[in-house]
Amino acid sequence: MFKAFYFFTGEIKQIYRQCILFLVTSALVFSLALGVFSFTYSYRYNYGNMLDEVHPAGREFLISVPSASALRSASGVVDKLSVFGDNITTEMSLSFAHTTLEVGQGVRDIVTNTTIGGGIAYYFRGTLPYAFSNARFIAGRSWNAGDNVRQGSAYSIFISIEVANYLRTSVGKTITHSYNNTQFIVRGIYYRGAVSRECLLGYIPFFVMPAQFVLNAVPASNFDSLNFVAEVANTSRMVDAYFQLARLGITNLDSYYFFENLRTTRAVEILMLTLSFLVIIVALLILFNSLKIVLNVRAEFIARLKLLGARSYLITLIYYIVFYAIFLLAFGLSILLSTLTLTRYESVAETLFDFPFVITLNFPLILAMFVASSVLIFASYFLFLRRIGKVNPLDLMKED
Amino acid sequence: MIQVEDVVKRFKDFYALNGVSLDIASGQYVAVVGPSGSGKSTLLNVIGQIDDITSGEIFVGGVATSGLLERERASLRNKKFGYVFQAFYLEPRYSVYKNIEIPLIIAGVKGRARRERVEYLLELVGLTQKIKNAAGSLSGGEKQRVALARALTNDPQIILADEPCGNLDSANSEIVLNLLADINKQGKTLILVTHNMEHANLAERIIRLQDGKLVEH
Repeated sequence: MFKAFYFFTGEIKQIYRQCILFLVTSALVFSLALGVFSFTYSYRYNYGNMLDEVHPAGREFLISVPSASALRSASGVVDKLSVFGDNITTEMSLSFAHTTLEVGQGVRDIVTNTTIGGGIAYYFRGTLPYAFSNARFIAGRSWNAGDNVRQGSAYSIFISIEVANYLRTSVGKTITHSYNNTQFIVRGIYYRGAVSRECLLGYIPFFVMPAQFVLNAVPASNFDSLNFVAEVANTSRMVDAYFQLARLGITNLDSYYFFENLRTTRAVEILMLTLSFLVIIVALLILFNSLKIVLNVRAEFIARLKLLGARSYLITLIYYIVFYAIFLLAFGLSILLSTLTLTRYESVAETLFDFPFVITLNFPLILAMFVASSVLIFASYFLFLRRIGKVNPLDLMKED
Repeated sequence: MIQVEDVVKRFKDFYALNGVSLDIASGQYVAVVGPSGSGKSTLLNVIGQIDDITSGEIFVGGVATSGLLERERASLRNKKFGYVFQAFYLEPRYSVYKNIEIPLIIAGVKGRARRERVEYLLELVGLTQKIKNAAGSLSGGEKQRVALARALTNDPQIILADEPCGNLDSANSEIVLNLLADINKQGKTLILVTHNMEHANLAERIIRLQDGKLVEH
């Protein structure tokens, strides 16, 4: 079989223009399909659904994304990064911190409440040298915050300077949040100057808990800055929370809007997903047409080969292998292109959508597209390549 | 070498061959003549395993061919027969070298041996200098000589030539016919289909067909 590729390389060379067209077209349409679908689905899935799955009641919670400006403005050096929450939010919070902490802004201490969260923090310490390499790792006590957190739907929050200032002046005061009428007391948050600065991540309705924990774990800590950004799961809560946050002094919710946009209505989501599927269908149709061009079996060429003694199945198999190889190349190229496209998004998106992450979370989609395209290739065999079996040397004489 | 026994080839209601029987000995030079539509080319095609027969039997080297599998027929076409046609049937975008090489590739001949064989055949037909030229760029006479070289690549026992001079001028026709005669002198069986009686008379035996039937053999 391999020696027979010899004359097929010549055949491929003859139709190289069609091969290139096939390759480029399929790569572009695959990329477009992957990009559109991934943008629509992955954002919602990666962020929203992930949290929904972890916290079924989480549709009515406040989750957060850090405001880059808030963190940066918090301090030149963050002495302590306290992270409270379950595993997912711990990871996300640290990811967010990673994206927002500037080089040289190092963190000295990392405090976390859960064991797993601590493990994640430890991981980040190792992987974010410019931020965490010099940090002392302070594992929280074995506070079963997970259960409490879940029940209370607590999530990590970065608190803005405005909130910090507000809370600083509200020490001892009771603040009521309208979300569930939770009251929390601002405890022990005060500023003692620039000696120690700390970013505290906590959940508004249960702010008292992390505040207590921090105070217990790190006595007499100085809270200089509290970075806080909130994102709301649905519109009604959004409005409510927004006003609450505004009363707390939080106004720089740029990331908030970003993720709010992701949390589109169900109708919009369905529309975008439908659009994505339509794009994929169009992509497959274009691919099919390109494949048809490339697989334009030259009957006279096949007839000559058969006249000289070539066997049908061999010719068919070689055609099949060659063009499937081209398809695989196009498919791989399209995955790369779409991934590069997705990673163009800055800040949080960059963190979330790095290449391995894209592949991991989009793997079902990629696999589905690969399977669908493979079915197309196999179908093309029955549509086009069967002709090879039907071509015979007599066809040469019919043309005369 | 070749035995044709009561062969019938029918296309719907038309009998291209209607009960043809003949024997062709090994090394024989046979010309098949007859008016247009008499079945000359059809006879050549069924002998050469290019076409099937409706009934009867054709023996090639003692082997009955009607029951052969497709891959066995393909093997016969590759190793037992060499074909020369009026329209040449070269791959115009391939080089002369590659056109001649294809049967060798199909036969599984290694690269170095292929090259040696191709160069030998091109020297035989006097086209060594055209080895790298695209087949489509050659003149009619040169194309037919390349086709002849290709027909000889696997040293077949039987050469089938269907109007090989149909698209050639007299000078090139003479060259091609002389080459065919030389090939026959080497012991190969040659079956030449032609409507030109001058060409037919060069053969040692003439078979005449009319309306699918043998009238002279």
